Amino acid sequence: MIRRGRPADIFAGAPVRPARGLDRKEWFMRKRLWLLAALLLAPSWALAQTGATGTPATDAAAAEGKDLSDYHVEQSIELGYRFSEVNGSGSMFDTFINQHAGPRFLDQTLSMHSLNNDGVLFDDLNVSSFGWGGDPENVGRIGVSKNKWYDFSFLFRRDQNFFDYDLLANPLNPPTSDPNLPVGFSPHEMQIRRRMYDTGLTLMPQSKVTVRLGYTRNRSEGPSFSSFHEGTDPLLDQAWNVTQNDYHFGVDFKMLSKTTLSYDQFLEYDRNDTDYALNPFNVFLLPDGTPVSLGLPINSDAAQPCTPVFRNGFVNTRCNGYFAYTRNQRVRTTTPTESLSLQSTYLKRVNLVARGTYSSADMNSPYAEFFDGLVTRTNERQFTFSGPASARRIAATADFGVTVELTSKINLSDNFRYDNWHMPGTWNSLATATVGTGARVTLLSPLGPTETTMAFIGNFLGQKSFFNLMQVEYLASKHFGVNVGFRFRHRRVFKAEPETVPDPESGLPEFEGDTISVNEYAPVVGVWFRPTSSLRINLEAEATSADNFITRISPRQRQNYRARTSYRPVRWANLAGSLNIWESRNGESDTQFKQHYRNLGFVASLLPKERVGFDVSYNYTNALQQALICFNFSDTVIPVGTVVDGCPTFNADENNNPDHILSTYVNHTHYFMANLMVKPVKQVTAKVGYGLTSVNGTTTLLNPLQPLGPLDFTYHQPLAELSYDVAKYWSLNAYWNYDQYNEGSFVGPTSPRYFHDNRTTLSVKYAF
Amino acid sequence: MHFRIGKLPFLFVPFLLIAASPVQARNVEQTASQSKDSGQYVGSETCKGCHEDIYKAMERTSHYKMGFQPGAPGKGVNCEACHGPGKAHVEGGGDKSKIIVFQNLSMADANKRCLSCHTYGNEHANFTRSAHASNDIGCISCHSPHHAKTEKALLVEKQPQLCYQCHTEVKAEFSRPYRHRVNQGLVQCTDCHNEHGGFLPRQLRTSVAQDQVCFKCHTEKKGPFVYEHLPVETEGCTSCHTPHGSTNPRLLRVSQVNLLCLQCHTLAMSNVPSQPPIGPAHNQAQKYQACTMCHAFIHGSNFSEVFFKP
Repeated sequence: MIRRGRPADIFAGAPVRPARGLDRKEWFMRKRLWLLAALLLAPSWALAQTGATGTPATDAAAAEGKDLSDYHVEQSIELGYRFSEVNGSGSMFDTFINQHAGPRFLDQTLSMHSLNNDGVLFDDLNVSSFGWGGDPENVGRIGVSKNKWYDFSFLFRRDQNFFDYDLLANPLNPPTSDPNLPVGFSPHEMQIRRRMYDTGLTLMPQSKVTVRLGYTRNRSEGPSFSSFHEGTDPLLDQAWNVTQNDYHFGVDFKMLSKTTLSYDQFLEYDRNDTDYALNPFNVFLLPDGTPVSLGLPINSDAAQPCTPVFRNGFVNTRCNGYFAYTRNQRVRTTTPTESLSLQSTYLKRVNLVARGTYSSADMNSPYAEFFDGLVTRTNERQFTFSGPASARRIAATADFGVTVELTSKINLSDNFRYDNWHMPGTWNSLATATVGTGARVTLLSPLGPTETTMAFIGNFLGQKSFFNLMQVEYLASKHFGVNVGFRFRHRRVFKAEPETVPDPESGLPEFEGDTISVNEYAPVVGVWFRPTSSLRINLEAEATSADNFITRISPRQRQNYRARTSYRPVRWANLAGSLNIWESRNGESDTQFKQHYRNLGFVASLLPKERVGFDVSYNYTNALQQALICFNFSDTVIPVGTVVDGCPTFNADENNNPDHILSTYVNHTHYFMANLMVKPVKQVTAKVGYGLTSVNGTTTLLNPLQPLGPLDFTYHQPLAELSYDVAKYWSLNAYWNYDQYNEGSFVGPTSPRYFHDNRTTLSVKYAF
Repeated sequence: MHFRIGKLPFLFVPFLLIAASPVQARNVEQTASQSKDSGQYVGSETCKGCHEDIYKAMERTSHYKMGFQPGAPGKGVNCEACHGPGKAHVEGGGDKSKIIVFQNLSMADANKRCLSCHTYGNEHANFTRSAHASNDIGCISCHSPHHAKTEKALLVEKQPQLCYQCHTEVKAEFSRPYRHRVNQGLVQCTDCHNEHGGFLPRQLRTSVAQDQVCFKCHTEKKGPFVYEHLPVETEGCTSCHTPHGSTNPRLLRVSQVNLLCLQCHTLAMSNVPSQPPIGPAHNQAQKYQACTMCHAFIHGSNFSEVFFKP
């Protein structure tokens, strides 16, 4: 029934909120509230997030909240234990999933809202986090605000990034080598923890002058491997240590109606203190008992690191080898950035945005490198490199956007961007090289004289570019619209290096360089249809052509076609489909670069009843990348200057029998996912699901020992969940996940990559 | 930095005195189509009489606070700030033709109502030129003041499920073995894309220094370096990587690194005119099976022209 009358009459007799001025009971209630907030804020944060594999927050115990004092409070917490069993490659499991057994603080949320928007310190408080106790992803969020006065946000993210796909950077030591020493891990393995902190504070958000403060910290650290080439290729311990601190101050002025002028100042400090040292990998003894590392590639057929590798059970003293190696750097980069922007809708029918930024980064880094061993190519027994490097990145950008409502159905918009950056860099190097003594220098040869070399190295890279996109949009009705536009882009790249012979007049090396200019032209068109309120269809197309190219795989022609549709025939059914096609070409006769990415997919979500739900999705991707390449694949030597199928020979010192082929990479990826949710009774929710990623394809075989690896695999991921509301506010939950990764191609001269795992998480959740 | 909530820094007091003046309510702009006659407004408490569920849902949102802005026409105009003055609607017995119903508006008209207030700040400044707006995806496609599932930004669905409803191919990409951890909640779509539009294609954000957004997290790749790997700066990270997810390690475009390198670094008769990269003379079949085993610092180096060292 609709009640007429004045608001006061309608609500006569409605509950009256407590007047200001607290009695003792009220005071203690508020104190308990602050204590509750402090306890939940202090130790850890958990995010109410359903994305984590195997640990989604169930909806079965949805929080209704309670009114405590002057706040409406909703809270949930989920604690549990994960059981994890892995079979097969633990490295692959850690690379893909990395969820091990142990207790878990799975999930936590807290929200407090002032009932009368008159809280003492805040009106709204939101705290949420997930993944504590050992999961590879931990996220915590805090949001606090008080109407008109401030808005504070804090985001913490911790990422345990483990990577060990053993085919990456692997030397693929052949089984025919003597000795046969395959490398069963990736020489670029990583176990890096990244912690990111993002803090933002906005003061007086609704006033004429608003101040914004921000601080961001990004810290990455942890052990990892690297490699290096000099003589042989040693495995290096890479102690990853990278830190970034950003400080931000901004102010918005809203003095004029519907117009904002903003100034932002950013200060960015980057620090890279990653150190390197020789890892004791493939260490064997010389005849005098001295240990020496032979490095990663052990291929006696190719004389890596020498042939024969062993003599009488000891390392061949004429081998390339490492006794010691260290490398230290202290990279410091300071980047102040200023930004001035204007945004206005003051003029009727005109939306205007303009922004200008200027950034100037300064990098300085001392460097020290030490080697002790043998490089047979140069007979060096020791060398050092040192000297400071410095580089700058000076960048200026200008952006402009305007939309003009010509009529109620026609809009004209223009988007312009100018970007100019240049990066000069220099390195003053001091190198010492100590060769061994004797007619045949060996690992046991005494050190001879040391030669010192100093050099000045300079480089320059810069790019000026601008693009402009102009569009006309016609909104025929609420059922149909079309937009047509044209984008033009110009780029000019300049790269320079100093000449080796200094200028006779100045005595300084002059820079010689190359300039490449590229102009791109791209008409764009888009159409959308809404025949009914439940059906939408979008079609877009753009075609780019360029008159030049920067790299061989930079396309000179590019087309993109996109189609999307969504249909909601009834309230409980959502259907969506998409088609996305990218085609790129560079038809130069000696390049013949072709690339395409063709994708087709659909999603269906059905929730006919509250107790039954089903969703399914399928996606197919066809990816291709091909280009003509010249490469060597044998030791056959042909006369220098010979051209074979368009591939010139290199020089007499190297294997120079190039092969000219059309290299190709083709990938077919199928993705399928289905989930079924049922609530047989009100207190019980069950879900079963299945995910599958299947890949197959072909690629040019450059090395017969290289398996297809990631180009031929299946990845099965079934799951199940059960939730039981045992009592008001309490629920018991069980999550099961299974993963199986299986490559179809041969393993190759490294470790197998198959794995399967079972993970079961049991938890209890309390929510109100 | 240390923030002392409740005690404002001395430096900002003058600004605050200006900002806290009664005229600040002018920032709650009314569109031209809305009546400024306070007599046409009935107040949100009246709306609550019939739409109690919707009212209660809105009470916990930031929109509800707008009702406490002094100086706005009428008292408590939360509902009528968006739906227009309600007197005729109430007197018409709930006549829907006498009130603004967003489902009946075109998306462009619905957007105008939202943007009449949400027009300040860089986050929404480019929305009218965005790919979403051009495709008739408007504010109420993703946001709901009354039926939001998230408190922050009042989204109808959480990320990334909200984005997956249209961008179905992206859902499949983030399910691949090598991916940014979007499904795990570590990264959100809006970390890299500005959903309301921006100056760059694909609505990409930039880093603070107007460089690629990838460098916000992957700071060690940012440089500047003495020796730059040219395509990193001129062509972008996506010339070698597929940023959402890939079946290839390190999110590379191809399964074998050597193939990717050789497609640029090939010595041909009419090569790229600028300079190297010439092709390597290495025997690919027998050794040098992994380019990055030697050229380990492929994103840039301060101490090696061929990226052997950092």
